[in-house]
Amino acid sequence: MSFAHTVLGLLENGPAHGYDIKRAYDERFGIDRPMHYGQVYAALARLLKKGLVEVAATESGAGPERKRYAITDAGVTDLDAWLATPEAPQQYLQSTLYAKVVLALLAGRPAVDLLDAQRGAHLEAMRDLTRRKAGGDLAEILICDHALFHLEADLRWLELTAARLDELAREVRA
Amino acid sequence: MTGRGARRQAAPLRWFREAALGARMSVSGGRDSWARLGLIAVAVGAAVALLLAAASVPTLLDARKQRDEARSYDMAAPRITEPSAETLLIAYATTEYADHRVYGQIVEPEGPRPPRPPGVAELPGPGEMVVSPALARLLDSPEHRLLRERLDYRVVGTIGDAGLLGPHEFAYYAGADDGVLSTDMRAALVTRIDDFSRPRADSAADPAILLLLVLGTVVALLPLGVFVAAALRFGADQRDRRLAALRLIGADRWAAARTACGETLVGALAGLAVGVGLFVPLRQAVPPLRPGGIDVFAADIVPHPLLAAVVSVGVVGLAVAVTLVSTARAAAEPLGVTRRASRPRRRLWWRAAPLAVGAALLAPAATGSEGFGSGSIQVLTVSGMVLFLLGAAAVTPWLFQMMVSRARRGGVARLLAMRRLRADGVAETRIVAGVVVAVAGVIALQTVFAGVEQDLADPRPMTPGEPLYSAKIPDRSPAAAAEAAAQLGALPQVRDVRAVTEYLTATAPAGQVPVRVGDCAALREHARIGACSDGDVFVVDGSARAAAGDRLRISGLGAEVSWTLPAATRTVPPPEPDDAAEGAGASAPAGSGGGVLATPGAVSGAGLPPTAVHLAFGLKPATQESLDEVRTALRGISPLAHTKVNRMPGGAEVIDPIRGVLTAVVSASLAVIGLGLLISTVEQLRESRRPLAVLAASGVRKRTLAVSVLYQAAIPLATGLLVAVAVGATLAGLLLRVLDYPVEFDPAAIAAIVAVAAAVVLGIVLLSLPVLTRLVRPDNLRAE
Amino acid sequence: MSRTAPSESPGRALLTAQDLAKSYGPTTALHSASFDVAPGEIVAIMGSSGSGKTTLLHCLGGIIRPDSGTVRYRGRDLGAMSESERSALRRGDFGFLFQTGGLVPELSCLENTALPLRLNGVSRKKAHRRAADWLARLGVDHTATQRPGEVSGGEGQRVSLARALIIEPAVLFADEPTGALDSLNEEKVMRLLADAARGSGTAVVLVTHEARVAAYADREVGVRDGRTRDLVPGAAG
Repeated sequence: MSFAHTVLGLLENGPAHGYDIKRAYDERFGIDRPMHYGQVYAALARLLKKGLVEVAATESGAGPERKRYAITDAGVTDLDAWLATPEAPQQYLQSTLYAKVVLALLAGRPAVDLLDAQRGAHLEAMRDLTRRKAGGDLAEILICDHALFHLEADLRWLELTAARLDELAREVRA
Repeated sequence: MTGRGARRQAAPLRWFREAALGARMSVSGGRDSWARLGLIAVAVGAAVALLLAAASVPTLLDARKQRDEARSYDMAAPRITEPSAETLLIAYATTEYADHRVYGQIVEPEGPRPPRPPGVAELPGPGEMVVSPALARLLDSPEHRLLRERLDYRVVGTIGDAGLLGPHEFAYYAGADDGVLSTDMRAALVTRIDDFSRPRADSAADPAILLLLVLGTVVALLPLGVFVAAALRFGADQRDRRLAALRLIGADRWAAARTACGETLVGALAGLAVGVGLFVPLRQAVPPLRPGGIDVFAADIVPHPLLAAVVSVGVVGLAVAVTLVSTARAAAEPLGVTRRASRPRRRLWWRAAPLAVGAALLAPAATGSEGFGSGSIQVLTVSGMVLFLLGAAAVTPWLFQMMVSRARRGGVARLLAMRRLRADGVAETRIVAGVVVAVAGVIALQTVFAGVEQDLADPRPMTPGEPLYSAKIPDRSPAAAAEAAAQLGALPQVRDVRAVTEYLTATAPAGQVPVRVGDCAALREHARIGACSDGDVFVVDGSARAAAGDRLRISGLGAEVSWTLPAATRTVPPPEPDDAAEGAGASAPAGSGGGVLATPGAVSGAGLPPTAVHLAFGLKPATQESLDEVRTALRGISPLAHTKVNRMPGGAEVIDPIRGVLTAVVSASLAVIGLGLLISTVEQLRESRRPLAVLAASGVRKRTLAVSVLYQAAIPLATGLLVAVAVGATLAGLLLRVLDYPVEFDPAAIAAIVAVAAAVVLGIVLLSLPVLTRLVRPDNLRAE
Repeated sequence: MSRTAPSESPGRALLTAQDLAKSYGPTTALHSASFDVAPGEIVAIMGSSGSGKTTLLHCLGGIIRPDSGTVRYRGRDLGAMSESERSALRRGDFGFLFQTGGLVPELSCLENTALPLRLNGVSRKKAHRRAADWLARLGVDHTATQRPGEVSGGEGQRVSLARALIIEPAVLFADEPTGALDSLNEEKVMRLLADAARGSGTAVVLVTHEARVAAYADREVGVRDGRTRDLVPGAAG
C-alpha cells in the first residue's frame, strides 16, 4: 500500500495535522502495524515537494509548532488517478512453502506431515482472526476477512497439494 | 437432559397428538397439498360411493323381498273357506309379454270390506283394472296392441310405489267379471283371502350363476380396493422426506408412522365424506338410468349398516395398513431417502406366494366332485379368487423389473423412460396394479361367462317329460275342454292340440287316484296305451290304485259324481322314460302320471263337473311373437288361462340380467380406476417436474419427452397386461373346472379386453400431455 | 467471549468414537476413524468430499450403525442401544443441522422450531413460546408465520438452527450447515451457531470442507480416505 496516497486520501476529507492523520490511519488500517510519526512526516514532505498538498495554517502554542496540511487540486487529481488504477493481482509464484514441500520430497521426508503441520498453523491463524472478528467493529471485520480469505486460499492449495502428493513425488524424483 | 423421556405424556394422548400433527401437515402445504388431498379425496370418494352402492345390495334385495311378500298370499294352502264381509277372491293372472313379465291378479270382493293389496287405493270393479305407471305407458303405445287385447279391462287407477317391486315393473289388478271367480273355491288358481302378505322362502341359486355373481363381485370390487390403496399413496415421496425430517429430530419409528397415518387418514376421511356425498345423487340416478336393467326404488338403495361399517372401517384400515407398509423404509431410517446405494432386488418367492396359495385354495373345488355347492368350498373358492387376482398385482413389479433391467437398446426417448423406470418404477407399477387386477378379473369373468352361457344355450325342460308348450284353464268340463281345444287349434300358429281334463283327487275304494280325460293322442303322453279308440279306459300300471269295476267318486267345480270303471278297462305300462327325464320318473309327483285314463266317449254319460284342463300344443313358427298371440287368444278363451313354457330359463332370461348388472358394475369400477389413473399420471408428472424442466432446458425436444412419458406408461402397462392375461386365463380355467365345464378360451374376446384396457390407459396418458407441456417450461427450473 | 479449551483427557469426553468402519456395498466410507468431543467444545471435522466425514457424523449421531468400532455418549455404547433409545437420544440430547432440507415444508417456521418440543410432549402453547424466543434470538422472528419455502436460504438455516437448539442439546451435529449459503449469510449463521452453542454449553460436531467455517471451532479433526488425523495446531513451528 502506498503511504503517500493513503495520506492524500485521508486529507481529502479536510485539512488535518500530522498527528490527526496518524490517528485516522491507525484507526482504519493500522491493525497490525501502526504508522510511525516519521513515516507520516516523510510522506507529507514528499507530497509538499510534488505540490500535491500545501500547508493550510501554522499554529504555534505552548508546545511545538503545528502545521495543518490541506490537499491541493493537483493532489485530488493524483488521488483520483491512483484510486482508478486497479491493483495488479499479486501472483505468489515464489512460495517458500512450495520449496519446502519439494525439498522434503527430494530428501524422502514425509511431506504429508509438513503439509498437515502447515495446515494446523494456518487454521490456528484463521481461528484467531475469526475470534477477533467476533469482538471487532466493521473495519476490523473487513480487514480480518481479507486475511481469512487469503489464508483460506493457502489452505486450499495445501489440501490440493496433499491430494496430489503422490503425483508430485513421482515427478520430483523422476 | 436424558431424563426428558419421563416427562412425556401418556401414550394415547401423545399418539393422538402425533396423528394430529400428521393431519395438520397434510393440509398445510399450500396449494400443492390441497390439490393432493383433493385428488385423494376424489379418487377414494369415487371408490367409496361405488362400494356403498355394492353394500346396498343386501338391503335392496331385502326390500324387494318385503315388497313381494307384502302383496303375496298363500295360494297352496288357503286358510279361509267361508266367504265373509272381509274376504276377497283372487286369481293369479301373471302373464308373459315379449320378454316382459307382467305381474297380474284378478280380484273379486265378497263383501264390503275386502283386503286391498299395497299400493292400491280402491279395488277395481268388474271389467276394470288398476295398473302400474310402467304398464300404463306400455298399454298406451300403439305397438303393444297384443297386450292391450290380452288385458281387456278399462284402466281406472294407478298402483302406488308400495305395491311394486320397482318403478319400472309391469303390474295390474283386474276386477273379475261376475261369476268368473266365485264358481268354486277348489279351482286351482283362485284363492279366498282376508289379508295380503305372506313370507316367501328364498330359492337356491344355480351354482354356476352363484359363482358368476361371486366372481363378478370380486372382479368389480377388488380393483377398487387396490386402487384406493394406490390413491392413498399420492405424494408419498414428499411424505417420505417429511418423515425423514421427523425421524432426525428424534421421533421414533412408531411416532413417525403414527404421524404418517394421521396424514393419510385425512385423505381417507375426506374420501369417505366425498364418497357419501357422491352416493346420494348416485342413488337418485339409479332408477331413471336403470344401469344393467335393474329396477329399484331409490328409497330401497340403503347401504346395509354392517357393510357400510365394513366399507368405512375398511377404507380407514386400508389407509393405516398402506401407510405402515409404504413408510416402513422411510420410518426405519432417519435419513430415509438420502442415501440409496442399491435398491433391494425384488424377490419372486413372496410375490408369487399369493398366486400359489390362491391356486391351492381353488384346487379342492376344481378337482373335487362337490362342485361349488357346499359353503366351505365357496369360502375357499372366493378366498382363492381374491388371492389369485391380488397375486397378479404382486407379480407385476417383479416381472417389470426383470424387463427393465434387461432392456438395452432404443432411442433417447426410450432411454430416458427406461432409466427413469429403473430408478423409480415402483410408483408406475403401483398405479398399473389396479388395472392388472381388473383386466385379469374381466378376462376370467368373460371366459366363465362364455362357458356358462354355452351350457345354458341348449334349452332344458323345467319338468322332464312334459310338453314344451301348454296351457291350463281352471274351469272346463270335458266337453267344454274339447271346445277350447278346438278354439286353440283354430289359431294359425298352433299345431297338434292335446287336451286333458284332470280330476286329481278322485276317490277309489283303495284311495285317491287321479283321473284324466282326453282323446287317444292326448292320453298317449301319460301311458303306453297301445291301440285306442274313443270309449276306452285304461289304468296305468304301478301307480294304479283302481281296477275294473271300481266305483270312483269324482269331484270338480261345484259338484261330485260317481262313475264306475267299465269292465273293458285295460292295464297299461307307464310312458317310456324320456331321455331328458333321466330317472326323474321315479320321483315324479303322484298326480303327474299314472292313475285312470279315460277317453271322452267312456265318460260322456257320467256328467263330469268342470275342472282344470291342460292343453298341450305345438307352436309354429316358434317365435316370441306367435307365443304372445297364443297367450292373448287363450286369455280370450278364459281370463284365468295360464300359458306355460316348459323350459329352464336359459341364456337370455338368466344370463342377460346378470351380464347387464355385472357389466354396469365392472364398467363403473373401471371408470373409477381410469379416473384414478389420470389423476396419478398427472401427479406423477408434477412430482417429476424439475427433472423434466432440466431436460427441456438442456434442449431435449418436447416431442421426445412426450414419447418418453408415453413409454413410461406403456412399459409397465404391457408388463401388467401380460400378467393379467396369464392370471385371468388360469383363473378362468380353474373356475370352469370347478363347474365341470370344458375349459375353452376365446382369444378374440381376450384380445379385445386387453386392447380396450391398453387404449384406455394410453388415452389417459395422452390426456395428461397438456400438463406435460405446461410442466416443461424452463421457468419450472426454479420450482420449490 | 469465552474460549473453551479443548479437552485433552478422555475422561472428560462427552462423545467418543473408536476405530469406526463403515462400508456401503463395495465403497468403504470409513476405515478407522476415532473422535472425541468434550462438553461445550466445538470440533470441526474437515475433509474433501467423499472423505467419509458425513458418514462419521452419522455414526456419531446414532443415525447409522458402524460396521465395527464403538461410539460412546456419556459412557453409553450407542451400538448397544435399541432404536427407540437412540430416537430418544435424538429427541432429547442431540440436535441436527444439515445443509438443506431439514425443515418440514408444510409447517410454518414457528411450528418447525417447536416440533422437537412437541415430540417431547411439551404443550403447544409452551413450545410455541419457546420457539418464538429462539427465533428472536437468532434474528428470524419475522419468519414465524412463513413456511420454509417462503424464506431465504440464510433465514431457513437460522430457523433450522433454532429448531436444533431449542431442546438445548448436549451435542449439536452440523453437516455443512452453510454449504448452500453465500459468504455473508455463512458468517451470520456460523456466528450465531458458535455463540448460541457456547452460550448454552452445547458441544458442536461441525462437518465442513471450508476452512473459514472450521475456523469457528476450537479444534479440527481431518478426515482423509476414511481415516481421521488430528491437526495439531502449532506443530509446524
